Amino acid sequence: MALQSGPHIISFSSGKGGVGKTTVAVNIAVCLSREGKRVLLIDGDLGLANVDVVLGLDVRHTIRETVEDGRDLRDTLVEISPGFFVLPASSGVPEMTRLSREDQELLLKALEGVTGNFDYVLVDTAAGIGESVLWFNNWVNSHCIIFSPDPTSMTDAYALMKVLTTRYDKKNFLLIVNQVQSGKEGKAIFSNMERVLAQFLDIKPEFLGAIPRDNAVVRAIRSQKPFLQTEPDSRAGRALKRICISLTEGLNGS
Amino acid sequence: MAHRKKIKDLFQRLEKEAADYPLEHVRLTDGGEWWQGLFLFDVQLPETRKNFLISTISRLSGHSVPAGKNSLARKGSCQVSPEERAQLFSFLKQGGGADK
Repeated sequence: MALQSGPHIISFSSGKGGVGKTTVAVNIAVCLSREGKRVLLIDGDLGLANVDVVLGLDVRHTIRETVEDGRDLRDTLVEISPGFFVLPASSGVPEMTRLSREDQELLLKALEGVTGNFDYVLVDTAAGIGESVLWFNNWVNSHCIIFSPDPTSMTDAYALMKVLTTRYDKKNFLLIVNQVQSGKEGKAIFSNMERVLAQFLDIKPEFLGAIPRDNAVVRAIRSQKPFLQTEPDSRAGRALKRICISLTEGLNGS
Repeated sequence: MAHRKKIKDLFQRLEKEAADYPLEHVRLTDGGEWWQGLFLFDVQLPETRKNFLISTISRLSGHSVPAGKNSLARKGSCQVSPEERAQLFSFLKQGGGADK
């Protein structure tokens, strides 16, 4: 979907689960909002939502009610801090992972009704390459792909990009390597992925940065708070802030 | 021509299934094979309508339609090949870039 004159709409996907996608998306949302941007974080994992868990929210209403009962999506928005809003999804609802064409259109229209008020709209998608992952990725302008040094994670991230490129003609991939031992390792892993993507898919991804393994992240997850809030000067916190700068500069063409 | 008949058959089935959708935006173009270059979506057509047409055309024709390219590609081409895997993993076998 081309919404170039509106907000920057970015998906956060990984292929494989458990690579820290939701944690990264939440912390980038926090970082952008601290820069004075109006940010909407959509939990795109419609059947197994996690954004509310990472943020420690007590969620009463979700996207599901918009799809099933026509509830106004604006009434489901949760304000986390000034300028930072979340659209929570439901957990344990398999029906939400296979929406009919009509429900997809209804949700799309509802989302388009709220996104216009924001500078950045981030969509934390489900893991895998299921219908909702492809549907959300088809809707956004840019695709942030998160993967770890694990070979299964690299394969799944590559497979996801291959599907999006081959079937949906998507090319704007922004890569984050998570859970690295060092910045050097992160850069090397990106360079390898970049080479394979160029060789086989003829696409050139952008490197947003790498986030090191850091106990500060583990502690923050267990306390259900963003690590940018609990330990902003940790190694992961500093890396995240650099990624945020790369993201905004890249999207704004500077 | 068999080429023309396949296109006509596809359009007839598409018309039946997509009665409420603006088929005037679907155009024939010059493709070498019958399934190549069949469709040209109007740029003004809403994305959701394009998506519907793409998925319907894909299902009826047996070929996938990369959005924006206005042409069909063979299905199954997304599978990660052994050569791609080898290239992805070659880096790990060389030491993975980790600091020693």
